[in-house]
Amino acid sequence: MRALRLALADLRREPAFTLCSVLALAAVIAPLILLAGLRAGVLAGLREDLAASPRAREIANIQNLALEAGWFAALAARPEVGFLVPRTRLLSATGSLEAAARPGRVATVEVLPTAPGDPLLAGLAQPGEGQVVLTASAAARLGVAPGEALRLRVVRRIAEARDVLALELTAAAIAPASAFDRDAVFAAPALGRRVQDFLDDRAADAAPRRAEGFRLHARRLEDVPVLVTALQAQGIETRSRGEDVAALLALDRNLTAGFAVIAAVGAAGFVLGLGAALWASVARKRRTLSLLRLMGMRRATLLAIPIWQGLAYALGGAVLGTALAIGAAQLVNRLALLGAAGGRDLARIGLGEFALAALLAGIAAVLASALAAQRAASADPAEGLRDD
Amino acid sequence: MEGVRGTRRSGGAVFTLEIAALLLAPGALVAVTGASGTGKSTLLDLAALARRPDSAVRLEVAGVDAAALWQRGAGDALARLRAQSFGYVLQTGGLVPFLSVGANAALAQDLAGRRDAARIAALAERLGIAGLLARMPETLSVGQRQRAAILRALAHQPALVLADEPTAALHPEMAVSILALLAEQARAAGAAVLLATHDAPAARTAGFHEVPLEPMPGGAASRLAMEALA
Repeated sequence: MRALRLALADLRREPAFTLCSVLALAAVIAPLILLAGLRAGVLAGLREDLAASPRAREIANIQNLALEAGWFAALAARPEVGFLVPRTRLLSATGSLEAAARPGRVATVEVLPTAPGDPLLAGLAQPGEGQVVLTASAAARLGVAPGEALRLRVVRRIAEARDVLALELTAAAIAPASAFDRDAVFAAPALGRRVQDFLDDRAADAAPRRAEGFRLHARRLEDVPVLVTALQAQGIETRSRGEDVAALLALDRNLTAGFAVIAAVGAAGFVLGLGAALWASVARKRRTLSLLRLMGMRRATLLAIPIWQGLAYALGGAVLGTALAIGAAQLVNRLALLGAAGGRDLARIGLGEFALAALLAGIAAVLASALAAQRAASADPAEGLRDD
Repeated sequence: MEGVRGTRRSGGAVFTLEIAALLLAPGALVAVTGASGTGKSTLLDLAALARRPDSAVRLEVAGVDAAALWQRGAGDALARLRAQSFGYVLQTGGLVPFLSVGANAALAQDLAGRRDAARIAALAERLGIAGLLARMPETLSVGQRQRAAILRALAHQPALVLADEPTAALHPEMAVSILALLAEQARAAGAAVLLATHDAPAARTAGFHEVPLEPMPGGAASRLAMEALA
């Protein structure tokens, strides 16, 4: 700590020189932090847009399939899978739904399977046996509120004969409009299978039927393209917002690469600038360093003095640079608000950006001070005796 | 020191000094005088363990074989020996410019491993600079700076104080009083003083034993031979 005390005492003695050095470093650091904040803000905005809708992580099959339970178990075991439930034939399990209290007001609804953890029904009561969750459009068409009794009628024609399956149901909840934009009800998979079995004239006690599709949600946005590719490899064509996600990830990669190039150029300037300042400082104070060596200071202590000073400059530069960048970011965000940023911050600078800047500046400072430190450590004690 | 030879190069000139014998007992006050180029600086460099001798039969400081440390290239061991054994009073003080007077003295104690704030206060009182301990060197007059340098030189109770032209920048009357103060405080602390000076009369007046350095025939070397003084 002796080296740190001496290094800081020396900096305090030359406040103007110290301030100039810190300002010079802040001038390098501030644009880099602002750039990092802009990258973070742009990407976070796009990501939030996608993440706001759980349907962004949805992957649906576009042709009917024949999938065994083992296939579902294998897919569900993948870490990229956030939600998976088997479903019946596409656009097949449909019926007419009406509110018991308002007969004659009918909506043709799809029966969609759901299960605990369904991202489309987050925060809603899970429908039990005899219960359904209505989509917002179906609920509006029928004027239904949660808790109301419903009647679902499914009609089939076999050899000119007309059969009707009538099911008494209860509305457990109403899904938000963002969950599904058509008239539908979410129910436990058994209800969809029962409707499908009725339409196919299939006995309820027949061998378990194979699922003809699935409802699948990736765990994260980044997982969507991975799962789409994996399903394609199995010959399963899907529909998703994978291209949007892939475009976001590509933008992330490109912005990160661009930022890395600019940061590397800035870092090189930082290291050279700080290195030259410290080298010149050691050259100016060579006699004082020699005096310290004459007085008996260890080589390692002399070596550490320019390194501590470099770190102090770097920390000061990072603090001031972050403050300048935050000010500039607020200006950018204000201008963006006047423009078309949709009320969202275009540049985001947080503690993470500051911590990263301080860490990188610290590492660069140690590198930059290496030559100066070496020079300080080689101070000749005989030079310290010459005081003229 | 016995049979020590040292060479110093400065501005293209080469100065060689041969020390046949130099033994400084505690409390000895020795003023080495002589014209420029006779080897005063080389003598101080060698005595301060700041310059590697060309050869040495015996070079011992406080019972430690310094010649062996030079041979081993033990730079930090030599530095530790300097910290514990020597104090310095240089031409304009030689204080560390970014430390206060008190901090300069505390640093000498710290490096020697002999922290003693009370000694700094008492010594500063005797030197008449008790009120200047918090001042930075650049705010002091030359005379005050030399008193501060004496404070730092004796704060850690060294065996030897090395003084290189400490009165060169002082008024003649003040020069004598500063040398007398250095001599008095060094004797009180039991430290020897090796003074290099052009001002032989002031040194004699202050009680120093004068040892003139004479160039050897040929002019490029000097020789010093001196027995123990107390």
